[in-house]
Amino acid sequence: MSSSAPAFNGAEADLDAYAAQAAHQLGEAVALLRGYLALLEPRGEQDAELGNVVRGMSAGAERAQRFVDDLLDLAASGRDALAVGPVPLGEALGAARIRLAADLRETGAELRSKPLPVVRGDRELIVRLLCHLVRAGLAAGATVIEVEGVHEDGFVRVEVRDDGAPASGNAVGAADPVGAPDPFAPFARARGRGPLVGAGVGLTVSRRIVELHGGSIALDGDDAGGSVAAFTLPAED
Amino acid sequence: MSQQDHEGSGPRDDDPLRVIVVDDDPLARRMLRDVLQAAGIVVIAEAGGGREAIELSTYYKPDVVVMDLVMPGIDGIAATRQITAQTPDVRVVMLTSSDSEEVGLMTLRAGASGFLCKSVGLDALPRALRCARDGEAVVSRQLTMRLIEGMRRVREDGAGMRPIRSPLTPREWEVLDLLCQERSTDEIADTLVLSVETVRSHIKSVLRKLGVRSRQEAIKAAGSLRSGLVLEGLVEAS
Repeated sequence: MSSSAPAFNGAEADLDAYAAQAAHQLGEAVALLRGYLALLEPRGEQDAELGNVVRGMSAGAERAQRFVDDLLDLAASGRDALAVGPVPLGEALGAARIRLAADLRETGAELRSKPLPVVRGDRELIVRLLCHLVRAGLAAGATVIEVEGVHEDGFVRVEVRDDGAPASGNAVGAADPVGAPDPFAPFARARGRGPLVGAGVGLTVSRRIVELHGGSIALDGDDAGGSVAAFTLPAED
Repeated sequence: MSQQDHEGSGPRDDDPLRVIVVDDDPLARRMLRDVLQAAGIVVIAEAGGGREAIELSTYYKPDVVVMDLVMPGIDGIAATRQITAQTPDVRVVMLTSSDSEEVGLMTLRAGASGFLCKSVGLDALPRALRCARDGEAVVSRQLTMRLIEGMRRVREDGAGMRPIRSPLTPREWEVLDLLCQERSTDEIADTLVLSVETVRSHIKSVLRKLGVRSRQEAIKAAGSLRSGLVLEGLVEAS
């Protein structure tokens, strides 16, 4: 079974088109830069100073590639179509853990979960959703990220809780009395700083994925001073 | 058709071309697959990213990989470098929306047999891939001219030219280039801003890798390597 993505409004379509164009322009430049760095690498092994330069530039190129990845992801999320089936969330989180292995290793953060329910949705999109939410926690400097899921009125409510820099409270669609920026808006300011911060589209893509499944998502500070992203997905019967 | 059917024999006219299509956009992959299949080409696998492309190419050993440039994680140039290093018989043709000659040249340096801009029209793709499979370069006339200009800039003694695959490191090639210009050890050390001991060590390594005993023999071997007369394995085995 499959269904198409809901039609986005004109502004979002324009944004997607821009993201696609920016991803290809920047991606081409990064690919060229990485190509030259790969040519220099063998010399860097023999020349310590050159080796340091190559490593520094490679780290910069990787950060730029992260931007490219995010922009490609944003552009793709506007044309995603669902391939729906039963998705064990524990297995999806395992796949996300593999994709984020380098980031988890680098930060030393712990990603843990209790047994998770099975939802009905598109496995690849749900893995991408979990990747974005876990990575947002890593970028915010979290040391522990915990994922929980419970059944709730035909849906599964999932909470991704982290002890990183706190989020300012808000829920999608809710009126914001103090006018704080919507963290789900494209290019919103990230909770953290540093190499893991991408283009600021992870939560935008997350919202699109959740809404495509008929669920909702909110981000809030938690009582312990961290953040919790809570979303719902249809439960598997 | 199984992989074994191809082993031990070169491509034949009645062998369908076996291709892997790499593009992060599923719609682009589907369009490419439709065009290629309509031309009798077998699309044996599709990859949505560079890492997957490397894994599938290593596993399936296709005749040709049609590679996108901009992809999440590992880009097309990096994937091309790894695929052609691990499976030298696999040809890679980059198909991209870019018409940058710089990107084209880098793609070829990374090991690709071709660089095509999507604006050339997909109708031309099946023939281009068959040409790549048969060992031909698939590049635009403009890019060919850039390659010719690059060749003209090479010194008459061949200094600066290197075989694509060689056991010598880039630094050892620099030392060998200067040996070919009959520079002394001291002069080489001055030119490369290295100590004399380091240069001696490089020269020793060059002689060992080339399987020769003297500088003159090394100069002769360099000429042979540049003209492609010496097979790679011969040098590596020494």
